[in-house]
Amino acid sequence: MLKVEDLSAGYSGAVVVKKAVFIAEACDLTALIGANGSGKSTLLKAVAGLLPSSGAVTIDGRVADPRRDVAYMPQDTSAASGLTMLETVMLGRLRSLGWNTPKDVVHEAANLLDRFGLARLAERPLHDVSGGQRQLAFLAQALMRRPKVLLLDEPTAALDLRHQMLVLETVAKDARDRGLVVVMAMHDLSLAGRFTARVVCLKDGAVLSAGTPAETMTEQRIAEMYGVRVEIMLEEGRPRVELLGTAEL
Amino acid sequence: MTIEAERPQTGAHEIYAGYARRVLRRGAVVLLAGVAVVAALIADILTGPAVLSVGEVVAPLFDPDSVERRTAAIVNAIRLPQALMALTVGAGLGAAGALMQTILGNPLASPYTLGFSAAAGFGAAVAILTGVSLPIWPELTIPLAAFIAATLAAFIVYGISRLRGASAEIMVLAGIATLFLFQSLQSLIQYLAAPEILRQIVFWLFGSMGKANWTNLPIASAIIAFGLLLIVFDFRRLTALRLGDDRAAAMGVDVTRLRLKIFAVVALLTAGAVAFVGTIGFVGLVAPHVARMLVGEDQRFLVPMSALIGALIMAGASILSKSLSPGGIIPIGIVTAVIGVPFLFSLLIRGGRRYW
Repeated sequence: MLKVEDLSAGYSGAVVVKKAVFIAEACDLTALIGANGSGKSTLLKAVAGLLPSSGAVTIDGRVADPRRDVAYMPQDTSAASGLTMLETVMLGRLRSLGWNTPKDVVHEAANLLDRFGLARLAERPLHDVSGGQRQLAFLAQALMRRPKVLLLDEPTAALDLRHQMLVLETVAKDARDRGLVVVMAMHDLSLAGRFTARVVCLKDGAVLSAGTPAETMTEQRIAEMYGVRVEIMLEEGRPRVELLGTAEL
Repeated sequence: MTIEAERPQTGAHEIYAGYARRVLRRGAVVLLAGVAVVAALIADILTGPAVLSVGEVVAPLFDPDSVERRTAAIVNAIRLPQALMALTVGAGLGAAGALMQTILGNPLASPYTLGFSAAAGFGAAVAILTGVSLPIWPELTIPLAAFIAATLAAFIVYGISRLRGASAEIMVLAGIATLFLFQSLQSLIQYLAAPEILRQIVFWLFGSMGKANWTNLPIASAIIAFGLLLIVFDFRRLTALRLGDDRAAAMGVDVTRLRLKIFAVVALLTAGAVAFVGTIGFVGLVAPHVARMLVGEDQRFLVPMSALIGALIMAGASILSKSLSPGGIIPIGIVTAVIGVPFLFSLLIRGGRRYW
């Protein structure tokens, strides 16, 4: 279990995330939702140990060592790099790469590419593939780290519908099989409602509420967070969000 | 409602085989470049105002008494140190260029981008103008002054970058400002200098292998070899940096520390290269691009390959500088840019963005 307590973080003086508190369980997916600028990315970066922060981050009751335990995938999928897809994925195992590349690292990277249907692109340079294909390679790279906690910043943003499903199903399966904690910043509320076990709502850098999708994603709260009117339909206990229009503020 | 990944046309096994082949091919290309460097070295020694045969060039390397004393002297005292210096300087600038382009994430970066060589020129100009001289090894006065000034420039850029988290942008801005500062100071000295002194300064700035000898060659080689040794365990982290700061940091790389360390090494390599022979343009910019086209972005191959290509370009420029005007030698610093510019243009036109 990932436990975040009173976490505050920001950039050069400006505090973006203010005393955030939430938990995320192993084997499940947790969504981080909120409007643009609500602090989702900053919160993920802070948990990944990439920003100076105050507060406590523990994994299974022990203080987290982000370099060892956490894999973080940034939102940006651009890369003006001539590294091949395979090389990119292998870099996830940076610790075991020396002058030589161990055979099992190549195999594992190859298997991950295969799993995402990218095997035939293994030798293609990053700048020659689509943004979505790069995003899949970066996700594979994060999985290569074999983390306890996987933090994904909008993992489905650059993907078509089919690959959105593929990514979320792959991540859900890995979470179950490996006992992984997965926290994802998400904009697609219907995907969040359908795939995640917990939803953490952020507004102005603070956690507004957290709980199961059905508990947290109410029409009133979404109006409060995003300034829109929505209709929530529950399907098998999971909320599906229909956008009606902007809220009258 | 499960969506399976589309059936791959290649399996994990084939991917591994493909990767192994690629690594082998890159290793072979690097090895081939090494052989080409040795061939270029011999060709470079063969070229010069006095016409020598291959036998006359190779024999005195092993036994100075096997050929005429004059021939042995030309080979051992003049051509060999000059040819080796060309390779050393080319290797240093080539590797420095590759490292610079990687840490700044910019294909236009070169060892000179951050003002080290302008500073070296300024240091040399000060030494020439003031006429100071070291009590022992007076011939090392100008190189030492150049080296100290280049180090000073490096410290300025390093200090400012460190204050602001060592981002690539801050480094480039601080570096370019330093470049202009030392260029202006250099111009000021040239403006103040008497005609004879000015001639000496300008000649130093051209960059010429004529300055190489058995005293400064070992020093330059040691500095450059030391610089390269410092980074042999950083290649993987440097490769990770090619995916951007955020991603490298997410993979556990201390980006600020790595960038500052590589910066210091580039300063050392560049100062070591230019202090003894003067300013040599373009090698540090072009060599990494050629190397990248041949072996890709994996820095384990790219940095050594850039060093080898840098050495090859310098050897080629050295040969050209001795062949262009019969009986005379044009300073090599003039030739490198002349062959470098069309070369870079052809890369830009043919390669597009494929190699960066």
